[in-house]
Amino acid sequence: MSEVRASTIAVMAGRGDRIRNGRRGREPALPEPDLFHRPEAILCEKTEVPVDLTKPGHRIVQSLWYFDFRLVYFAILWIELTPNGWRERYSVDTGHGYFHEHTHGHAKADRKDIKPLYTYVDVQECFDEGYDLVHGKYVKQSGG
Amino acid sequence: MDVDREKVIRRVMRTVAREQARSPLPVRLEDGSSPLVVALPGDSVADVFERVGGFGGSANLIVAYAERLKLLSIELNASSETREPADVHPVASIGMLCDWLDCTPDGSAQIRINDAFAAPPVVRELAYAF
Repeated sequence: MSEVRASTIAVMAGRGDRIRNGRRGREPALPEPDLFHRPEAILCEKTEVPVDLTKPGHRIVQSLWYFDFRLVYFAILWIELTPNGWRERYSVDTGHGYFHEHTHGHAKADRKDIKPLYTYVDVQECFDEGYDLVHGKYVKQSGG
Repeated sequence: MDVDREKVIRRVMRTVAREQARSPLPVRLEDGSSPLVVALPGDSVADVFERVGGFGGSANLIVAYAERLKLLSIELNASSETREPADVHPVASIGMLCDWLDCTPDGSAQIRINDAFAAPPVVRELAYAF
C-alpha cells in the first residue's frame, strides 16, 4: 500500500521584503484622479462645423466647445442623408469624462470608452485621433 | 476614391478646430453652425458653388493649396447695388478666381455665373496647423 501525500512548500519572503511590504500596507491608498468634465454649456463658446465629403449625401460635423480659448469638449459625427433626414452613422465625443465612440449612431448601448480624460489637455490631444477615427470609418464603410 | 481630397479634408478640419479657438470662421448661420466647403485650386467654380448651395447658399470656402489655405466667405444670390458683377465662366477654376480676387482693391467682388450672383467678401490666408 502506498501513500501519496501532497505537500506544499511555503517560501517566506526575506526580511527586507517583509519590512517593505509592511510599510506599503500601512501607506494610505492614492486617491483616484478625478475625471475631467466640461464647464457648463452657458460658459462655453460653441461652434458647429459641418463639411461635405467626397461622396454626395455624406457629411462630417464637428461640434467644438471652447472655454477661455481651450478646447474643452468635442463631438465629431459622420452623418448620412436618408429619406428620413440626416442619420448619424458613427461618432466620437468627450462627454462623461471619457473619450469614447458610438459605433451605431447612438443606438442603445453602443458606447465604447477609448480613454479616460483628466484635464482639458487630454481632450485637445484626443482631437486628431477622434477625427481620424471618424474619417477613417467613413472611408472604409462608404468606399470614400 | 479621391485620396488627395480625403487627405486635404482631414488636414483642413484639424486646422479649423485649432483656428476656431482664436478666430471663428466668418460665415455663421442662424442655427450657430459654420458650414465649410473644402476645394482644391483646380475645382471648377460652378461645382464649388453648387456645393455651397447644398448648405443653403452661404458657406465658408477653404481653397487648399499645397502649403497654405485661402479662406473665402461665399454668399449665393447676393446682390449689390454699388458693384457691377463680374462674369465668371462656370468652368473657370477656383484657383483662378482667388488669383483674380487678390488683384481687386479690397479682395472682394460680386460675380455672376450662369446668371447666379455670388459675393465672396472676405479672403483670408491661413497656414496648416501642426
